[in-house]
Amino acid sequence: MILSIPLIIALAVAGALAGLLGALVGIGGGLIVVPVLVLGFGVDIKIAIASSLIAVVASSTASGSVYIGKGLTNLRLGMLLEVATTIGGITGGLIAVYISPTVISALFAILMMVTCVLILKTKDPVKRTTMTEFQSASELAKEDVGKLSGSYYDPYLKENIHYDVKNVPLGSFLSFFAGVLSGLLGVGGGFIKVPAMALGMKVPMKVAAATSNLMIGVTAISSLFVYFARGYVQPIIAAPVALGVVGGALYGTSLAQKVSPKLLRKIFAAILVIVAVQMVFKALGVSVGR
Amino acid sequence: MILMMMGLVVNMSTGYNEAVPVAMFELFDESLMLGDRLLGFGVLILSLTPAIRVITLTILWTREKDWKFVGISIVVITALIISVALGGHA
Repeated sequence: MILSIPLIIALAVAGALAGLLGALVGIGGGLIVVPVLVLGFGVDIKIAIASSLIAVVASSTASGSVYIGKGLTNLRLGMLLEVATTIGGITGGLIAVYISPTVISALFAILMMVTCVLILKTKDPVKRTTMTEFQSASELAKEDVGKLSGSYYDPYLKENIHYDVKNVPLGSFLSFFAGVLSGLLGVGGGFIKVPAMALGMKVPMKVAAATSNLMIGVTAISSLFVYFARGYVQPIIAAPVALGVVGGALYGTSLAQKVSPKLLRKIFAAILVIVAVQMVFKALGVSVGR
Repeated sequence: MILMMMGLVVNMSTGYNEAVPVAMFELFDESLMLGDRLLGFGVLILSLTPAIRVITLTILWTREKDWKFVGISIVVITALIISVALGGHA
């Protein structure tokens, strides 16, 4: 496959869109990058997955740091869930080479539809406190040493939000599953992790998205090295996508602060539905676009 | 990011824009085109960034004497090392 300059630019634009949407809702953009590469550019799905994993790492690197600075990321919770996710990622990466592209596409579509339903049902059951003139966002952005609870200031709601984390075993199980899917499908696992944290563990949506953004990079590399070693990485495809994702993700992190959590969930759900339908067509062998 | 941009510029300026797969060990192969080598190393360095992040958190929690999470982050680092080893032996 020969890539012209307009095609390389198109890859970067696709990456930017994926990065923007991913930063808004806490995913790495892989849910968008893989279908775009496969359906829009005719790339082999395993090469698309490898490129997507690289894009996920890029997105996590770009936006994860910003969210930490804003006090949204729960580092302890993210690391705890990452134990299960990295083990899952290794598992997924190892078994992916033995599974047919049709099965992978179908699995992708089913999971996106399930996630869509889950994320629309997510609410934010949190305790709110009134901000005093002596409290700043940075003072509130903290986690107790050894504990998973946290606090942050939401500029959209103009409130301090304190939350406790519940159902850790459930979150760990779902994180393992997210890791397997990461290795199989080339995603960061955020589309499982965000609902797992927000719905299952009662974490606020913005914290779930920020924490997921940080950890999906770690998840992605647990399977990326397997793909890299097996020659599925095509740098001239992966690089423009990754560069675009970084740009989109950085813009998305600033935009996310000004958007309501409900709107973020609706955007996420809409993306999942659109792409899931296309992947169903792909699995059925129906040509869409190119 | 810089290495990847340099690689793209080199490939586009030489007109060598063929999408070829590059396995990790091939990055050190002298026959690999300069543009692909720059792109490949850029990807490799980017891929190591999350691992560096985990190591940094381990150091931070060690300073806070949060031994529970030091242990948890060491488990994650171990899992990542295993994944690299599995990738290297693929």
